Amino acid sequence: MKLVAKYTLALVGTLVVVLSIGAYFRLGFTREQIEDDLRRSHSQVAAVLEDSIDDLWVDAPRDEALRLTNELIAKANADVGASLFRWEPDGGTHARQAIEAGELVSHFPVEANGKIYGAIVARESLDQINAHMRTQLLFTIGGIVLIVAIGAFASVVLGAWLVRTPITLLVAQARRIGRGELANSVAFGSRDELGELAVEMSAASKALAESQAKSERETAARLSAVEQMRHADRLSTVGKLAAGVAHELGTPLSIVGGHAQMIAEGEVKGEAAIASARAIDAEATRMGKIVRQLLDFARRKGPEGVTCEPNAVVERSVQLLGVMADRAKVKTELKLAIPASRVEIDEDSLQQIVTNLAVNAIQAMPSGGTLTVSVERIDKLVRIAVRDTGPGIPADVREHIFEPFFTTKAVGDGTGLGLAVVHGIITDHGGRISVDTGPTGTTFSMDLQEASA
Amino acid sequence: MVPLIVLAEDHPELRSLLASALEIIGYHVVPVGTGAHLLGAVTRLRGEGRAPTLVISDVRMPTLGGIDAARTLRATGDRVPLILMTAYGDAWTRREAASVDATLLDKPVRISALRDAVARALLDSAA
Repeated sequence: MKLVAKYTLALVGTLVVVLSIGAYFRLGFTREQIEDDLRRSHSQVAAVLEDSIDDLWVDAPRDEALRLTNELIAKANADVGASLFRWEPDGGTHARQAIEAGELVSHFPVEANGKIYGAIVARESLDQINAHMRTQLLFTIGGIVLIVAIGAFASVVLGAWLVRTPITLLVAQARRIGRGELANSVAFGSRDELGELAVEMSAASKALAESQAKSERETAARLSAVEQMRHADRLSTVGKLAAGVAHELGTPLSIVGGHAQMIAEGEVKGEAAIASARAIDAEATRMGKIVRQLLDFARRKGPEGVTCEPNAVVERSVQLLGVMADRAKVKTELKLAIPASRVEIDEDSLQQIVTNLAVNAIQAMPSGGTLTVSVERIDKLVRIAVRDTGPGIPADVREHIFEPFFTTKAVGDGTGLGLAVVHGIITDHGGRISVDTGPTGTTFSMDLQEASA
Repeated sequence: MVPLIVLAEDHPELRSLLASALEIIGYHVVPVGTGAHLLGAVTRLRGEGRAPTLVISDVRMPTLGGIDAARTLRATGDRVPLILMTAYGDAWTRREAASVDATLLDKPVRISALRDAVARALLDSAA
């Protein structure tokens, strides 16, 4: 059952009970008053009659007294317009009034000189009073019914206004919260309990929305932290380096250990043992090379404040690779900056960078091509670019090219440290390296600070 | 019957060393250089009615690594015993190795450790 209906029913019940009790006492009181009036009027008439009668019975003879008494009573009856009063010679010795069989019976003994001569008796039917009381009762019931009906109507109307409308709004809001729609709030201006509930509900959904937003932000932050970690992991971190070192050294160490074990246990002998020893030597050399490059990678920062002239260094580096380029049918071109300037990097580091990039470029053109190394001045920067005419770097490889130990070359051809070393040296000298690659070739461009002097 | 082992290792020197170390003590070894060749060799041998008794593979190899090759093998329902070798046995590698029911050997791998692992794997699969 709806709240308003319950509330109305309770109100109707209370009204009926309270009004009925009130009506019961009021009607009872009214009836008592009417009866009292009746008794009083009996007494008053009887008292007047008594005054005249008692002397008669003392002074006059009995017959005369009786005749005069009846005459006086008849006169009194005529005055009240009904034959209420009678003379009863043996009407009792005590004055009393009582209701007997639907009528009020009053006895008033007449006494003189200590002798009771008879009694004035009044009998009056209560039918009229009863009829009056029934009418009163009907009116009262009608009144109660009317009041209760008005009360019920008011309760329903006010209930709809004060209770059902706000509750409908609150229920709708609760359902919205349930569906996760937290942006809406509910307000209807009233300061009662429902108004308070609405305010609390709005506050709760706001808090919920905030905590949801917060947890979303936290999740996003966590995700981006994880992304950053992954990113960091992918780039040249200690972990990546360690994995690379482990992998690079794991294989040659396996070979060295394996051959040694087989020689020691006599499983290989003679020529085979010599071959095993050569393999051990080759792997030891390879491991030495890895260690050296690791040292380059770690100690890539050159001496502080040293500068060099890039034209000369680039020219010398390319000349040193002349034989390798010829063998690979690669033509070399040099474009040097005019006039010459100085850059903030030591000669050895710059030569290592140019050599690493040029070797990569030559290897990227297995069927020949052109290697172009250029030096040019752009504002306060010196740009050194190494360009090949090879097939370009695939996108998935390009992401990783500056990571240590990342290589696309066959086992033994490269350690995967070349570009990582280049990247490290350039950034350590305050420069920038970028790569531009496409199907017609790849260009590595490095911008280094021009020395001020 | 002589056990037939498919061995995948991208480094040629190590591949031939491990192959000979296993052949010396009496196994038949089919050496391959990549995960793709490993899958090819297993399929070919099965076709010839000589399903391999054991597969040994390096984890890190160009194009198709040992873990991916092992997953592919398991996906085709092959329950052949597996030994994976890795130089960098981090948690991820260990979990992946366990998920394909493979024994994981750390590099540098010792010949004696590899021979023990092979013998144990063959015993387990025979039981």
